[in-house]
Parts: sequence; C-alpha cells; structure tokens
Amino acid sequence: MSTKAGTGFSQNPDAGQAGAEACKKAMAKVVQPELIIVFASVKYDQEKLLSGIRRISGATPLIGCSDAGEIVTEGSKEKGVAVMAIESDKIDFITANGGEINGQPRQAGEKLAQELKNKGKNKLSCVMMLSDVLTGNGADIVRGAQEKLGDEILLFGGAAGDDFAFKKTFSYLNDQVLTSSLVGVGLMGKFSIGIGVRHGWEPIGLPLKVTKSAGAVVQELNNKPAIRVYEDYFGKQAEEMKKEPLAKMAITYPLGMKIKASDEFLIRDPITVDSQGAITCAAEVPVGAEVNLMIGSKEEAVAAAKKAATIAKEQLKGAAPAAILMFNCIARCKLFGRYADDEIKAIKSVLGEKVPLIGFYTYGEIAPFGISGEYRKAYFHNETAVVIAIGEK
Amino acid sequence: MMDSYFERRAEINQWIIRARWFYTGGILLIGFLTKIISQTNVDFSFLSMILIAASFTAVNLGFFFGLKKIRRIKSAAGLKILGSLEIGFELAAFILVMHMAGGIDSIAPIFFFITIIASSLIFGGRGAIATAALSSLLINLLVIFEYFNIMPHIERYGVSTLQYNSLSITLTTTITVSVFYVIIGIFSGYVEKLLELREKMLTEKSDQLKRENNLRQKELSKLDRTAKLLVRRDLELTLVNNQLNENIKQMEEEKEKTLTLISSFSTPVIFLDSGNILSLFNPSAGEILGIKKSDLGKKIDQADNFSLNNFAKIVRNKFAVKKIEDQQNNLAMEEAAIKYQGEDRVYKIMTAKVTEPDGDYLGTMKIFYDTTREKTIDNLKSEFISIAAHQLRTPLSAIKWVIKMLLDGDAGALSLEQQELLNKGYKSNERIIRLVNDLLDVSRIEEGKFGFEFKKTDFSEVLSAAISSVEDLIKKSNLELTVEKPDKLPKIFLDKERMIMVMQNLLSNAVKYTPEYGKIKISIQFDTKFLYVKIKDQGVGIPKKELPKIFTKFFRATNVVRIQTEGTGLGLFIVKNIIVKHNGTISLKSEEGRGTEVSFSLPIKEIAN
Repeated sequence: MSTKAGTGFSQNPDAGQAGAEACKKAMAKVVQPELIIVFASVKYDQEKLLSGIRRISGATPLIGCSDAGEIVTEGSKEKGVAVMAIESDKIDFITANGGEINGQPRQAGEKLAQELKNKGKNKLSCVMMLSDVLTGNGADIVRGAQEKLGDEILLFGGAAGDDFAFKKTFSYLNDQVLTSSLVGVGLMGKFSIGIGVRHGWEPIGLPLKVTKSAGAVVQELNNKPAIRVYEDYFGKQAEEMKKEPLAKMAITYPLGMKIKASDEFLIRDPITVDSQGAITCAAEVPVGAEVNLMIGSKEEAVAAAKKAATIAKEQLKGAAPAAILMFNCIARCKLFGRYADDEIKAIKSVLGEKVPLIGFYTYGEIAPFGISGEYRKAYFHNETAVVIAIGEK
Repeated sequence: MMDSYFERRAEINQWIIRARWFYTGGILLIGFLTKIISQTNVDFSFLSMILIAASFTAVNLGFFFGLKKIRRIKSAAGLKILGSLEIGFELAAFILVMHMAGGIDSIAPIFFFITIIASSLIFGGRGAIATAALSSLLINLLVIFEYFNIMPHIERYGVSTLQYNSLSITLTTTITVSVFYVIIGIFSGYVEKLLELREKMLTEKSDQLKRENNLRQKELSKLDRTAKLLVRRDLELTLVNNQLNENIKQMEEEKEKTLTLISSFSTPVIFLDSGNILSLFNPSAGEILGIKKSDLGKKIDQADNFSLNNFAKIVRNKFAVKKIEDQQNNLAMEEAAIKYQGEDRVYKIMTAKVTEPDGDYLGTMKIFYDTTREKTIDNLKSEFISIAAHQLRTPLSAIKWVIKMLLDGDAGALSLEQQELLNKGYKSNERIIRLVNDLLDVSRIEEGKFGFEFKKTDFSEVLSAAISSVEDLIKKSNLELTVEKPDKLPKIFLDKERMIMVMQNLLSNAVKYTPEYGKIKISIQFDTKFLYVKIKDQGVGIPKKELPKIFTKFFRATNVVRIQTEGTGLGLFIVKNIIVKHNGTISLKSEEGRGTEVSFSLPIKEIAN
C-alpha cells in the first residue's frame, strides 16, 4: 500500500446531507482513511454539518475549519463543503487543540505545539495548523508554535474564514466544533513534502515608513494616520471605505514589507480601520518597517500560483505527489472573480491533473519560504498562495 | 553655484580674520620676548607694542563685522573691497612694526609672508604676486629712507649696525628678501590656483549632484502621483468588474431559470435572435418539429413575416401551412398541419417580436398552440350540421307545400281563424327553411363546396333583383330607400345568384333594424380597379365592442337579440365569404342607436380561379 487520498464536495442546502455527501465522495477511493480534512462555509449549521460527516467517517481523526470558499480537484468553489480523506502506511497523523485564541495568540500556538510534541515524541516532522485570526495576531500564533516546535519541524496551514463577514470562525477537531480556536495535525513517518509560497503582488508608489504600530495595528505611516495611504491612493472612492469593512475595498491593494527570506514582499491584509485612522492588519507590522501599497493582476497571480506549485514539485525531489493542500488567500479569489479556476488549473498543470487537491480561501496563510536551512521557519502570510505537495519518498 | 563660490570666498576671509587674532598675539609675544630676552628693540617700548597690537585688533574687529554684513547682503564687490582693505592695512601695520623694530635689522620682513599668503587666498595668484611686489617696494623704500635719513632709523640693538653703514649690504638683504617674496607669491598663487580649480570642480560637481538629486526627487514624486492615479483607475475598474461579475452571475442564474421554464413547456417554442439566427428552442419544439441541436446558429429568412415556410430547412417533420387572420391583435398567425409520429397535428402558430421594456428589439418568438382537438371537434360539428340540415330540408318542403295548398283552399274553404293560424305556421316554416338553407351554405363554405359561377354581369341587375325582394317590407315600414349610382356601371365578373344573396342579406338587415319612416341609402361608385358599394341605414347600430365579432358564425349583436328574435347570425358570415371569394373586401362602420354603414368593394378585372 501507499499514500492515497480522495476528495469530495457538496453544495446540498441541507447541512447534514452536504457533509455526508462530500465525505462519501472523498472516501470512495480510500479503503481505510486515517485522516479526514474538512473545509466548509459558515452558511451551514456547523454542528449538523460535522455530524453529517461523522456519520460517514466514523471515528477517523478529523481536522478542519470554516472558510471563505473551498478548493477541490475540480476547481474553485463557494458556499459548500469540501472533504479530503487520506490513507497511508507511511504517514501517521496526530491531532491537537490549541484552544481558543482569545487575545493570547502566542500561548495558543505554544499549547498546540507542546501537545503535538508530547504525542509525537521525537518523530514529528511537520505540522499543519488551522487558526482563527480575528481574535489574535496570526504572526504571534505562528511564532509561539514554531518556537515551541523548534526550527526543525515544518509548520504550515491557514487562517479560518467566515465567507468574508469577518465576525466569527469555526474549527473542527474530531467530533467537536470549536469557535475562534486553533487546531493542528502533526505528520510523522517517511514521506516527502514540498512547500511553495508565492503571491505575485508588486509594490507601487514610494515606500512609507511605519512610525507607530502595535502588533497588527498600524497607527501611523510617515507620521500620519495610517489610513491616509488608502485615502491618497483611492481618491474619491475612499469615501466608500468608511461605509464598509476596509477589507472589502482594500483587500486587492494590500500593504507589503520587504523581508530578507524572500525576493517577494511579505503581504499584510488591511482588515479594519478605526476612527483615528489606524489600520488593523491580519498580522503584525513592526515600527521602522518600510511598507508599500501592493497591486496585483490576474496574470501575475496565476504565474505566482504556478511558481508556487513548481517550487513544491522541485522540493519533492522526484517523488510523485499523492495529495495537494492549498491555502489560498480570499483576496486572490476576489482579484480573480469569475476566473478563480485559472489559478487552480495552473497548479494542477504542474503537479498533475488527477492528484487529489483540497484547500480553502483563507484569512491568512502559514508557511516557511523553504524546507531547508534558514528558510525553514514559518511566516504568517497574507494574499499568498501556499501549495503543499505530499509525496512518498 | 555663484552662491557657494561666494560663500567659500567669505569663509576664507573669515578664516584669515580669525587667524589674525592669533598672529597679532603671536607677533606681540615675539616683540616682548626679543625685548626681554635678547635686550633688543631698545627704543620700541612695551606701550607702543601694545598700542599697535590693540589698534590692529580693533581694525580686525571692524573687518570681522564688515564681513558679517557683506555675508548677509551677499555682496561680491564688498568682499573684494574688504579683502583689499585688509591687505593694505596689514601691509601698513607690518611696515610700521618693521620700522619700529629696527628696519632691516629686525625679523619683521618675514611677517609679510603672512600677507602674501593671505592675499593669495583672497585674490588668487595675481593678488599674491602684486602683494609680494608691494611688500618688496615697501621694505626697500623703508631701508632707503632710513639710510638717507629721510625718516629716522630706530636702532634695534642700541648701536648702528653694519647694515646701515653700507647701502649695498642693506639693499642686498632687502632685495634678497624681495625675491623670496615674489617666489612665495608665485608659489602660493599657484597652489591657490590649483586649490581653486579643484574647489571649482568639486563645487560644480556637487552642484550638479544636487540638481540631479532634485530632479530625481521630482521624478519620484511624479511617479508616486502617477502610481496613485493608476491605483484609482485600477480600483474603479476592479469595482466595476466586481459588479459586472455579480451581474453576470445573476444573469446566468436567471437564464438558467428561464431555460428550465421554457424547456418544461409542452408547447413548442422557437426563438430567433435579433439577427434572425435560431438561438433557442425547447425540447418539445425539437421533437414535434424535428429541429436538431445542430440547427442552432442557422439563419432564418424573414420573408413573409417569418412564415413557417421559412423554417423548412430546420423543420424536418412534414408540414403544410396556411395563413389565418386574427383581428384582435396584429400578430401574424398561421395554421399548420404537422405530421408527428404518423398522425396529423394542427397547430396555431403565433409569431411575436420580443422587445425589452425600453423597446430594444431582442428577437422573434414562435409559439405553436396545439389545436388538433379543437379542429377535430369543429369538423364533427360542421358535419353534424350539414347532415342535419340536409335531412330537415325535404320534410320542411313537404310541410311548406301542404300548408300552401291548405291556404289556397285546395282542401276546402277555411275559416278566418284557421287561415290566420295556418299563415303563422307557414311563416314559421319559411323561417326554418331559411335557417336550414343558411346552415347548409355555411357548411358548404367550410367544406369548400360552396360553388361559384362567375360571369360578366351588370351590377344594376343584381341591385334591382335585391331591391325588389325587400320592396314589400320597405313599404310596410314606410322607409325611404334612395339609390345613388352612375348611369352606367361597368360589367364585372361575378356570380349573380350569390351577389344577389349578398345584397339581399345586407338590405334585409338594413330594413329589419331601421325603425318606421327611417331612411336607407345605397350608393355605388367605381374607379378603374374597383366597384364600391355602400349601404347605410338608420338602424339600431352595433355596440362598439362587438364590432370585431360581427362577421363570425352565429353571432348576433346583443341589442338586436333583445328586439328581434328572428335571425340566424349566419348572414354576414356568408356575405363575407362570398365577397372574399370575389377577391373583394368588406367592412362595417356603426354607431349604436344611429345606424350602420356596410361597405364592400369588388374588383372590376377578372377574378382569379
């Protein structure tokens, strides 16, 4: 036997039936699943959805979260439920709960990492985590987890979504539906992994210095209220920003910071703005950093996704990919509009048309820039396509 | 650039003024030391030394403030004047010190090097040489003056020295010093020139860099502005695009709904787009008409207002089509017999233009109503009437002759009462016979068996025959009938019997519904093409909303049903059919309570078929 995966998707209006349908399809090609991965819309009653899945999956370890759109082998979807079932005699899976983030992101990351380390002994080789970032700085969660795990263990994953409402996210762990929490799964055994991280956004205009910030809240840029950057760039349209969450308009014009680990900028999503003009981003922006407004195009974004897939494939070093995981920012989905499938097609054209693929549109992505040396440390990304390919050695 | 050159000059000047504080002190110190240590400068008192140094300092203070002012007003000329004053004053001060310290015996000549170098800094090479020459002149003159006692010679050591005993020795010394002045002047001038050149180069370069930097800054901020404009445009496009995506999504959903709806119709529907291209048909249309998916995109000819005949290339099932009229609206209507699964089906085809609410033409829609069943029932009905009428005619004729014979007294004389009753019976029987005849005519018309015999006829014959048939009734009701016609009427092809039927029908209607003493007018006209006949009465008229139905079978206006029980509602139907068979047209105008005017026209040329 080897590593095998299957995916299923459903948009059945009934939560229970949708869950059961998607799970049935996912398990159709798998004999004895060892892990079930679930990404689903918040439009479903989450408890009913999970119990629908559990009816089919039984007690197989399960991990998942709510999202802002699903990605399956067939392409980009929305308002549905996607399920992947994996079986393998090479990989062992252990699940863990970091608990509610509740304003203590670092502790949640540490707790998750500790539990996985305890369960995995010394055999843990990589960790996928699914986190809420509406109640805590995503970068802190990653830092807490990575420090506890040590730089040797690869960390990747995504931030749960709620169909672009930015109110409350859910995560799933075995039979439980958790709110605003962090869950994770550890992978152990003999397998190879490839991680590609690209976004394709380009800086535009002059850089601005962060003169005042606290964690993910950027108060001042160039000694002026941070929101001024969007007012300057958006002109008249900036008025619209005040009526709706900032993210609605600004998400396709994120902020970007130069970093050493990559030739691409590290992206930060603007989410909300307060009355003083301070912008809350999806993750921290330190004082002294130089940020640029970023601009994207469909072509660049597709090319970036393809590059990410290529990098992931190269890192597999010839091993055939058995399953693909994708953590893709909701902003990219917004940028693509009706052409969201182009990106998925580009990835499949590199990693294989028939390789089972599951992923979701996130509020942030977690991944290292590489799998070797100094690049092994995970970052919290925004507006980025993270492609994970799991293969056999 | 000029600014920075001036600044540099002013700075040098300032530096010299500052240096002057120190070397004034230095020279004063040397004076003190030589006086104390080497017992020289016997006649040069401490006081005069201090006084000279003090006034030197005071003047330098003046230079200091002067320079400040010049720098403020940025006057290059002022700077030059100040420089000349400084040099002149310094030379004067040094020659005075030299004189006081014992002329050529003192070491004062070396002080002039300061001035020469200073002037090279202030004025450059030429200035330095000029100052060197001036210095040389001064010391030589001083020594000569002192030698010839033009001015007193102050003895440095209290005794007359060798130098002043021999002019040649004295001048040798001063000339040697002068030569060095000039040499130093040349050198320092040259060095200064080099420095100045380099400085100029550097200043230029730095100015150029500054300018370039400014330019870059300007370009950058321009780029930044452009970036902002581009982002604005991009944002606008993105927002519009999002809206568009949203709309497209909605439209696709709507389209799907509409398609599902149309697909589930059992009535065949075909849709042509605005370019007359087949763009949609439902499964029912596909099956019943034999249209295939591959026909989508084919162009349909518009001739004859999208008659089904134009669809022959895509309608694969056999069909025959005829036009039918529908006066209620202006849609073109056809009736088609279509062979579907071995049986003949009859469809009423409605063709409609599809427009948007704002009037934009979207295309043409054809809807096929299945009227097979109605048609069958209609046929059965006609057949029944035909048979029933035939069967009734013979006994009715028998009854007629029997009553006639009785009334004629062939069976013996009748009492008045009997005669009256039989008369009523006779009339009722006549009515039934007329109805049966009308019904037979109608069924013949519908079966296409209503035969015609066209002959060249004078319409006057028709007219008089028709009038004579109603003469009795006109007299009875005291009506006034006028006929307006040209003396001679053209002969036209018509079926005389049928045309008399037409005129009889129309005239009897006019007579029947016009009240006593009313007027009826017949007018006949003709032109090259048509003969026009008008019959106008002052009858009860026809309600406006019933006018469209007036030529249909069994129709009687509601107002006449109330007053006249007699009448079959078949007359006008038959009339219209006869006129149409003559290729003529008939129309009717009426106003309720005022009267009715029936007009028909007949073509004068031959009638086809």
